[in-house]
Amino acid sequence: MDPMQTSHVKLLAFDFLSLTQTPTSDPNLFFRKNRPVSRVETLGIVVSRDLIPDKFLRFVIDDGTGCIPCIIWLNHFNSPYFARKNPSDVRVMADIANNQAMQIQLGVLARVRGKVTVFRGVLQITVLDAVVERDPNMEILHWLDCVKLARQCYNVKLKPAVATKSVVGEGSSSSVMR
Amino acid sequence: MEPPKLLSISDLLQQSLPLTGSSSLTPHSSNNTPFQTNSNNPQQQLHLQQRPSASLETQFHPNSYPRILTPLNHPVLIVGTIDFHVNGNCPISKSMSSGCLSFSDGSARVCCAVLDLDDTKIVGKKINVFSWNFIPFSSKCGSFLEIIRWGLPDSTCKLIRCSDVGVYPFASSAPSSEGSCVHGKLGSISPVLVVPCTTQNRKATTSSGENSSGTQNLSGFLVELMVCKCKLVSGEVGNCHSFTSPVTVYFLGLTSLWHPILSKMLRKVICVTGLKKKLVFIGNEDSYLMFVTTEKSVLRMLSTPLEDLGFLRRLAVTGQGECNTYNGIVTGIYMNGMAVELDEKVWLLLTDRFLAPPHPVRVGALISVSNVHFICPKFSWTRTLLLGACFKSTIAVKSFSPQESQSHIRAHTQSLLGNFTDSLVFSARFWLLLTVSCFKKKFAGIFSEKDILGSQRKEGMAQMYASSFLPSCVFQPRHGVLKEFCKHNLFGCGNEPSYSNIKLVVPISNFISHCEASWVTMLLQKQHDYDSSLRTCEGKSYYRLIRQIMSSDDFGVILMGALQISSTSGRLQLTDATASIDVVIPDFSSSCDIGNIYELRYYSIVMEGVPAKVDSLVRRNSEPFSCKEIFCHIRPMTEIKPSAIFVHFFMKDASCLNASLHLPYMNSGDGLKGIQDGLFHILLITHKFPVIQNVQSNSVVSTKSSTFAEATIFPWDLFLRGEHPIQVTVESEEKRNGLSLCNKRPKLVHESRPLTSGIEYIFRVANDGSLGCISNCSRSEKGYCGDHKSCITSSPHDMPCLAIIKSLTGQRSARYGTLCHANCNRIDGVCCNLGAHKMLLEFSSKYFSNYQLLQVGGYYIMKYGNEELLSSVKGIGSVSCKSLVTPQTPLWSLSFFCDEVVSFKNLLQNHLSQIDSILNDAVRAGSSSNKELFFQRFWNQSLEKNSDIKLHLSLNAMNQLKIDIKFLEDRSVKPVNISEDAANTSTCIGTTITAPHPFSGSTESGFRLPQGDLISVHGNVIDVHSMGCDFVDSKAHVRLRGTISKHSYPIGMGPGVNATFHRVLVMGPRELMLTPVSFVAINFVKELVCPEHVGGSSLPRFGSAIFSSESLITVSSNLISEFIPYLETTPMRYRCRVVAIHSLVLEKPNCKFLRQQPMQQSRPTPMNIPFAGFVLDDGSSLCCCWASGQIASMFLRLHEKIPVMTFNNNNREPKTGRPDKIQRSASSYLNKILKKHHRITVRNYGALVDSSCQNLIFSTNSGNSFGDSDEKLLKFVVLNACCGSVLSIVGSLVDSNGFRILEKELGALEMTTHHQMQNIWAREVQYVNPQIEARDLLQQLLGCDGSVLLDDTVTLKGEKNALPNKNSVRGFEVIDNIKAIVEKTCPSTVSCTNILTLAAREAIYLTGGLFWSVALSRRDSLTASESSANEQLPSPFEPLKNITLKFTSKGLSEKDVVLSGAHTVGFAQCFTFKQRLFNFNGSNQPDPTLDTLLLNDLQNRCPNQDSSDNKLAPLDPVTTNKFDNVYYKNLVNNSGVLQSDHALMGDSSGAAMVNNYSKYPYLFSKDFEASMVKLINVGVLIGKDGEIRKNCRVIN
Repeated sequence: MDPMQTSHVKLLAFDFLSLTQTPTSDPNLFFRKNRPVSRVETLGIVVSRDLIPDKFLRFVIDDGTGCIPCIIWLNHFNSPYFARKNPSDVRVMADIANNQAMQIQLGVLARVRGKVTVFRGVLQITVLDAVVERDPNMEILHWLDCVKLARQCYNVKLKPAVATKSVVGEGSSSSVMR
Repeated sequence: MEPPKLLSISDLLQQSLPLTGSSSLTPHSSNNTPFQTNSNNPQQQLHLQQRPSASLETQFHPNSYPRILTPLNHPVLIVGTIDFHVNGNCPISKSMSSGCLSFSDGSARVCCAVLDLDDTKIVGKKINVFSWNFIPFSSKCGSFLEIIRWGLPDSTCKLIRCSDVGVYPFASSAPSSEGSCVHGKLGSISPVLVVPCTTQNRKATTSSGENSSGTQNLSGFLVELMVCKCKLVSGEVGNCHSFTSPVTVYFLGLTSLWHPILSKMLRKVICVTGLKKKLVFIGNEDSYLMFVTTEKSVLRMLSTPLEDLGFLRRLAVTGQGECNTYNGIVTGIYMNGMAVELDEKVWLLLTDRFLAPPHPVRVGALISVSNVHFICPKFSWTRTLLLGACFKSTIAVKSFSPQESQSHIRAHTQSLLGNFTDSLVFSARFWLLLTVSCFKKKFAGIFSEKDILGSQRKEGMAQMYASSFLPSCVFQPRHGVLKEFCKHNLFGCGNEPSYSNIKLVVPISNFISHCEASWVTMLLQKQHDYDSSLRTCEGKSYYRLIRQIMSSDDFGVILMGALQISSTSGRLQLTDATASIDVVIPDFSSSCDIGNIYELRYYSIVMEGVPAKVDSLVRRNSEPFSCKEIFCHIRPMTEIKPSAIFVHFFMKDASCLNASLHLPYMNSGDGLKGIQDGLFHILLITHKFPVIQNVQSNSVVSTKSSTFAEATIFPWDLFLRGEHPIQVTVESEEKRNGLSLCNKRPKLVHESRPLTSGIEYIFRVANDGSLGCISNCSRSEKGYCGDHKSCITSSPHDMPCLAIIKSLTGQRSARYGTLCHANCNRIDGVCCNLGAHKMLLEFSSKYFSNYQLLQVGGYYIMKYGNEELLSSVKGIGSVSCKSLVTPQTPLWSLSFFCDEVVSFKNLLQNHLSQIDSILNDAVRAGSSSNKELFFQRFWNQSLEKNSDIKLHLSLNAMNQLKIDIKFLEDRSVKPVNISEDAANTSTCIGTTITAPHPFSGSTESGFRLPQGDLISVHGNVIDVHSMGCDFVDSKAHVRLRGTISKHSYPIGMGPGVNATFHRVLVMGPRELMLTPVSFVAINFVKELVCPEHVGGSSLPRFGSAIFSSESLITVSSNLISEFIPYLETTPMRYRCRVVAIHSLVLEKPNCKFLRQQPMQQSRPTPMNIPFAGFVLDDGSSLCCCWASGQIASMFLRLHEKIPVMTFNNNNREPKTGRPDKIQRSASSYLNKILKKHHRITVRNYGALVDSSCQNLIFSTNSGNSFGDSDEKLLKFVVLNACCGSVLSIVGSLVDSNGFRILEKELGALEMTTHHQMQNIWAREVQYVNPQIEARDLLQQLLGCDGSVLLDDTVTLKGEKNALPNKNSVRGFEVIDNIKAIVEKTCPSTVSCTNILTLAAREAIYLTGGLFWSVALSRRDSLTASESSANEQLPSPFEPLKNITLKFTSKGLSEKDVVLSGAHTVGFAQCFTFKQRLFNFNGSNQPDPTLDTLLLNDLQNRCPNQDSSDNKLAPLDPVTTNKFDNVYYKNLVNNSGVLQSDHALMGDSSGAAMVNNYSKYPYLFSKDFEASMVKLINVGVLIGKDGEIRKNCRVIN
């Protein structure tokens, strides 16, 4: 599996907004230059915030290159999705989600990780976790990170045969290949 | 009001108390009141306060807290006349340069100074003094009146006031227009000086009618006037003049009395008439054309136009000697007034005797020094600004001091030191003043002041030291006052030559207090780390000791003092009159004399102590050495002190100053010269007994105490003959002949005449019977001393040798010697047991230095003669004797060298050159890097290389000796039987086990120690507890317990040292005991600042070779996806975040130190995390990261605060359940749970790529089930760990070996590794510093391709270009300009709105506000409406209610309204507030609430005419150009300009906010930032709404 698919890909907004979907593939899978992306991380200023208590918080992150709509679900206690889970887990997750939703205020610098989803034809992030960064330099670091990762990692075409990573196996480190 | 009483000077003089009459500052009321004389009413006579006599004593103490001058509690008046001093000289300082006048009221006469001497008319007039300070001089009789406010009696007042121009005629003649006239601005003025009349000068004076006596000395001074080149001669006032060309006027003779007045007229325009133009010769050759005053000269002061301040042009202070003016408050006067501290940071140098500070220059006075040189000296210990006063400098007192500080009167003795001082450049002068002050302090009581300072004839110590210390370039020639004044620029007196930093000698007490201060600073900096240095041992917790090593370069000072042995601690100390400090000298040798004065330029300071909580209030600014502390010798007290401070240096770096300071040497000089000829024992030191300390003992007792060392007498004795020492340079006959030392042939002995005679000498000594011990010893019967013949003829074992004796002074000499076998019981080359003689060396406390020189295992020679048989010893075989070590019988270290057949000549030359190289090597090893300080000279080096005496033997002889050496050294640990302890220790079997050096040894175990043995252990001390147990780390830990007192430890003992423990008792495996005879020798110490790095918490767990010891800083950063090429497990740095938890084990803290599990780690947090696995993500890939301990807890964010509400059940409403203010860290919660369940295991059976899909299973080993809240908490901790910020991790791939351990570990948890992820071991983790990381990353990226930023982050570039620091006042042009630039680079990308918000942010940031992030995706609107702008924008006339309404309609709150009023920068047009000034609310009156001062000011700016409508007035009149909260302070003070602003105060909640903002500037900045963000997000257009305008002024 392409490591890009499992990791939280750091994309600038303009890059994120240009992710594509192939009609044949998994609806949760998006593509950037033919490499799969399902989770992303972004960092930027919260420029809009729309809270529906116990349902969701919609907000928009502006990272300087564009705006990414994000959503934090707060419907832990009435959604069928969570009903399958352990109730005590759900409670903690609800707490954490509510806590994060509270921190997402207009103007804060937020770091958001989540899954790429589509809502009414617009790409958005379904937030897994959101952190408010206090240091404005984080934004610059994030930009540079995105540039670096794009150049060194995301833009690199992966040979399909060796997309898997290996583990340093028992007793032999030579089994690792590229 | 009570009429002012008349006060007479004699009354004041009689009381002689410092007083101020400032309370009667009411001249208007007193002017017309007839004065009451109170002479006939003694009862009422001025309540000159009878102060308690005690305070009288303290008031003159220079260091006492400043006292304010005692005010009189009723108005008084002094009436008197101001005049020049009769002979021109102030009677007190006997000089004219002090610039004082005389004041007399008929009853008495005092010196006086007048604050505003603008009027020359004051002189000779009777004046009323309304306000004054009276300062009696402490040392001499006499006092001083400072006249603050004065007036003329009414009648005279009118007469003068009719003229604008003050005219002061010299003498009584009327002003005349005869002679030349100079009209110009006073540029500079020289001090008054007396010149002997030369012919030329006399001519000048005679022609002007002066009664020339020919021999009379003339006093006078020079004035430089800047005149206009225009032809106007008369003193017409006008702005047309440009005073640029300098003219010198010589005020000669009686006119020199004007100096006090002229010196106050600096930069004023004056006119002097009645001058003559003369050529004045100064010295022999130089002549200057200048104006000279005559009898008819008249001085006129012209009123200076205010605008004409061109003279005061502000030069940029570069500190390179440029002339400028400085105004400041005197905060200290030191060194007889030669150094004046201004504003607690700037130093004014007034070293020249002509430049003594005037009387009113007291502590607290505001002075203005003109024409001083600004110098930033290159001092290594401090940074400061010096003001160097030259002959052009003037000191003017702007305001008298209200304090009871003293005037400084400089004694006018011209000493050598004074001349020496003036011959230096300013920075060196200041250094010299400090040095003199230090010397006075350091040697107070040791040397007399005369010795230190010198006299008129003789140089003092300070001068001798300074002249040897200072580089030659700091000396400059002096030319006398007149010449230097006239040709000021030529001599360049402010120029500072370039020389390297000069260091300062400081008193040791200052040094110690500075060390303590830097200790506190260090604690403050590392405060965070020390919380984690809490350790536990056997249930008791303690803080681990920390040690800081600083180099002399960090301090930039020189230490100086005498070496001495402390009478109380027995330690070597450096001492001066102020304090003593312990020293460690690795290369201390017998040639270093105790008592001599040494200068240390290069040394290390070691500070040890336990970390303590430092209150931030304690924080002293850890300034470098402040000059003030050195001058006044304050020793600032710090509460927190390190437990030990000592100085480590090498003797070779120290220089003895006795020669250069002309001091007698304490000892007879080089000790090695004292090696006489004769017979010497060769001793092998087998043990040193610790210094016996009696804590209670007073010094008398302790002088009797003595120390012992045990030695074995080598069976060979050394005979040195000293008649003809072979000097290196001398080519002796023997050397030329190529005398060989090839073997033991006795023939050689016979051939060499001197040797034979030397042996005869032995017998002479022996026959004298002076070998006390030997005569009693067993060998004496068969020794050569009894048998004359056998020694020469039948002593085949006697071996000739060459002794090369070195000394520190660089002299090396070689001598012939012979080794004679002392024991005739030798059988077959093996010494029998009987032959090993023990010797006990006794050192009385006086000779502790000799004791400290000794090193166990070293060879020493000692002269025959002092031995006495120990009576208590019943020798079973070994014979012991005792010897008292005194300076007469010193010990010298010895080493053996073996040579093949070499010629003597070669031998000498080779080895002498070899010595040099070895010495140099030793130096390098000693001052090693890595903050390791070697305590032992011989540590890690062979003993042979550094000994005092090197014995060169032939190969054959060496082989013989080797057998004996081996034999002796095998037995060397056997304890000696001393007195009472004999019973306890004598049964021990002597075995030496020296533990392998840590990290060099191969395996563990194999460390079984025999029971009850005395051994020597060597290793790194890991920790020292108060209970007295040490850890010697030598692969395995060894615990040493001790009963010996703390004093027996050598200095520096503590964790982080490498030490050898001699003769410790083996108690069990890994248990040793220190006995009273155990001796601890420290080999080297290491710095211990950051506790985590020492305790082994980051020791490798998996695989032994994972981590090399290279510095972590150099680890390069990397992406996880790029792991594969780096299979060689180099540590790499990754920046990543936690995604999920793989598994986790939490344990209750463990007290046991010696747990054998490899997991065991010293835990700073009470919790123990032996094992944890995290899934990390850096954007490129995922990896599994294994960690433990501190690192794991960092991953888990255990130290971060978490909201408490999370664990209060049923509280999940984010809006209602606001987080509790009390937040605690996760670890505190976890500890509670761990108390119940000793070990908790967390396993994640769910997905590893998604925090929300983790399936966490918790289990304990206690069997108890979790409570609901506990489990919830644990889940929260785990999930919370997955929401952390970015971490910077140093880790390396788990290699195959480590992988096996990992699998085993996971197997115990019934888990497996994730087969698709890399496994890394985290070695270090820390929070990311985004600024540094971003900078590095940027460089990395730019290094590859400079264009990348343009492509990918256009906004960044745009932002940079958008930041020219243009003032935003100019409004839209600025925005237009920015837009134009941005459009050029990247068209249609950056909206005008973005530029505007960025510009606003920058403007506020640049004017002092906070910086905030700005969202940059807004687009420009397509419409604009003037009417809606008018409607929606709040107007300054509106009532608050309306404004608030407008704000709330846009989603903003009242707080934003208050903040919108932050008119802290900028201007308002007059029309916006004019109605408040003239017609408030139609009342035709100004707003009554407006502050009157502001009202007047505004009315001036905005007169009540329509034309003034567009004029501007500052919104924040106080700090117009600064973004700060002063605006709110203005509002509180009724000084808000706009009505709308002022209205805020009328609203209760608004007023409260204004009040808060006025008090808390940060609150304001913070709220303003938030409000701005809110404001700029009002009606944001993003996405496809709006547009990006091409021109901000029009829509596209």
